[in-house]
Amino acid sequence: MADANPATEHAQGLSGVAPGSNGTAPYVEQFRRLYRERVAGLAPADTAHRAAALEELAAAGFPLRHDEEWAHTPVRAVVAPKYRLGHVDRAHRPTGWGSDAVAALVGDEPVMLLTMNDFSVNDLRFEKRSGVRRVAWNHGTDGTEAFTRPVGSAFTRLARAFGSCHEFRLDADAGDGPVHLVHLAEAGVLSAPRVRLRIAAGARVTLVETFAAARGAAQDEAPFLTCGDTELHLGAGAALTYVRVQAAAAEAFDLGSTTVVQERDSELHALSVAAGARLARHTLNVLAAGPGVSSRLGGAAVAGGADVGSARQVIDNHTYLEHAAPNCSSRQLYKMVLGGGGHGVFSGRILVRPAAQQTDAFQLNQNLLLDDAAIDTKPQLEIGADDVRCTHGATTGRLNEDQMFYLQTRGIPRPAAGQMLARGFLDEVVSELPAVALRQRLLDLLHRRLDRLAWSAPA
Amino acid sequence: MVKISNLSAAVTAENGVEVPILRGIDLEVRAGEVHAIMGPNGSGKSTLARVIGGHPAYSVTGGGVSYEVNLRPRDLLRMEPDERAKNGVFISFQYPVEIPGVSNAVFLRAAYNEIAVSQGLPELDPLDFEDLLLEKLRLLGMAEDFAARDVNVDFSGGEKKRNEILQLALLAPRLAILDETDSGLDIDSLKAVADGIEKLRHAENAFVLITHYQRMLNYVTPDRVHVMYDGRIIRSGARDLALEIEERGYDWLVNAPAVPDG
Repeated sequence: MADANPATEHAQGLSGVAPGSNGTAPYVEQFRRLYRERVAGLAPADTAHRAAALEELAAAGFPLRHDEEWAHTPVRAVVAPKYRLGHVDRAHRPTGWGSDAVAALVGDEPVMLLTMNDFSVNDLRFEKRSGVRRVAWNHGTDGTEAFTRPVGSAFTRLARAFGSCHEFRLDADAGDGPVHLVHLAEAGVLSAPRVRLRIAAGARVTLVETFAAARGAAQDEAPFLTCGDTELHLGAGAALTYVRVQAAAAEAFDLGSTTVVQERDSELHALSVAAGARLARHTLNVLAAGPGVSSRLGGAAVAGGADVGSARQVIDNHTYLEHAAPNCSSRQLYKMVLGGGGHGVFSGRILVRPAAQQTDAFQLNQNLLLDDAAIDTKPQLEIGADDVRCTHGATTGRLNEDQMFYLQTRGIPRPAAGQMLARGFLDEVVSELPAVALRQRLLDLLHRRLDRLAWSAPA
Repeated sequence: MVKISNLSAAVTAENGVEVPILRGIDLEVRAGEVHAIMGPNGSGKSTLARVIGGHPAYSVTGGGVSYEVNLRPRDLLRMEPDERAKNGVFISFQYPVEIPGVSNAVFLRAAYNEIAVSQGLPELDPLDFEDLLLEKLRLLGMAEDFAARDVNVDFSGGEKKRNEILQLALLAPRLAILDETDSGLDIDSLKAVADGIEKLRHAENAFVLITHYQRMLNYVTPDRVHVMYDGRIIRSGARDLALEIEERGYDWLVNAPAVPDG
């Protein structure tokens, strides 16, 4: 299945959406008004890149259901609400590391960036750790140009128009204990933090990026929208574990993306954990740019159940892994547990360039359905090299009644037996993490979310 | 302890037809007794164990099972499977189920605590439970890594059966029905399993050993031996009956008129 002519598609525009109005102009106008507020008082020279992104958004509009890539995403529901820009003042500042909200997310591990409503409120909180430097944001490169297929969407354009920008360098002596990026937002706020990390050759880093509600948002609060855009550049031989956590309340819309470029012999282990949000669509783009790269992508998500109310809860992982050089391997394992009203989406594109001989790519999506949940899974392989191994698969099933009966005969009631099986199903993805405390926090987060599914429902 | 009266049960085939498997079982087991149920393949032995465990695939079409709880008879068939376990009924599986992602320690502690709490005993935290688990592993001469491994995943046939005996030791049931726990075992595993049963039997509990061959009964001596055929118990007797079956097979019993227990 050779790729016919990727260059042509790229030329159509960053999102693949043809320019022109597609009926979403009123929604764009809303963001245009918000944008004027965003750049008020700033010199035009400082905002040219933002204005350009806004105009790109206006030209392409927001994607609608007839766009195949967005067929399962209720974009109208996301862009129709009136959002506001966040503000930050003393009252909003999390008070140091005793702050329960942050501590619950990161434990006592160091936080290199904390944003609140897209304002940085506590930069680089690990003075004692060497090897991490904040550097000036460079608008020139954003890492997406080297991909064959277009990378970016209306929501990455929102990030480029609105987002606060944070760029860091992590050197080889940064240490491999978990380091955190935390993004909090309040009801009704649009936040789109942009983070760029350059990881030096040979460095070993564990990075956790968490998106959460600033307070325990109640169900009746206005939805907030986060579309963070994170870029990770791995130098030669660098090893990065990157965990992206969506822990927000049910009224959050999260359409964030992460783009990774891997140089020669680097190792990536990226894990996407989604336990919240009414809509959580994480786009992960990985370019295996140099030879000898290994890329391990994983996802563990829970959707549906008691949290949802009338709207369906959508958990969506879109991965795009491009093998551009020889002798690279990639392994993807994405798992979802879906309760009543939950909708899981997995779309995994693997593109193997002609030069990428000896590629070994594996992709598996497994889903556990309870109640009247829905699942859409779509692998897309584009293989331009002849000496490669690419395998993919997807399974969707319900609780195994033989396993349920076995547990019940040991005194475990049906609801608890179902929870135990669902935990076992999801834990496989998270248990690969070597960092013990981090792993346990993620398991706890997923288990608490699983507990809120309707386990006592009849089989 | 348990009295099975004229029990009939059926399974619904894929075409919707109800296929009778048990056709009137009568069996009474008292505290302190060990019974063996023998019989050729397809005679309904495993179905009897599953019906007593409450397997949802089988429907009871007649008769009943009276099980004594706190000296009072209760209708076992009206209890959910977990409720049966909490009241001291244990079914070992001929083919123990694999549960990927769930460690033996997590599974066993959940089971232990469910049963302990239902019986008014304190829950054990992970550390205390680990002590108890290690004690039982040592009692049964089992490797300590059983605790960390996922339930029955990548276990050999012998290890799966020993894992069933480990559960038996931890959950300390009053009535244990062991379904072909001896099948597929080499002689050492068979001895280990039989030795475990011998260590765990006492005056207040009872065992029903379902077995195809009598070799298990060389190591665990039954008080009664029953022969099942075509969904019925066609002969009951003392230990000698098992030896006679080893010598003569089942045909002479199948062709003989039924002889009730007595």
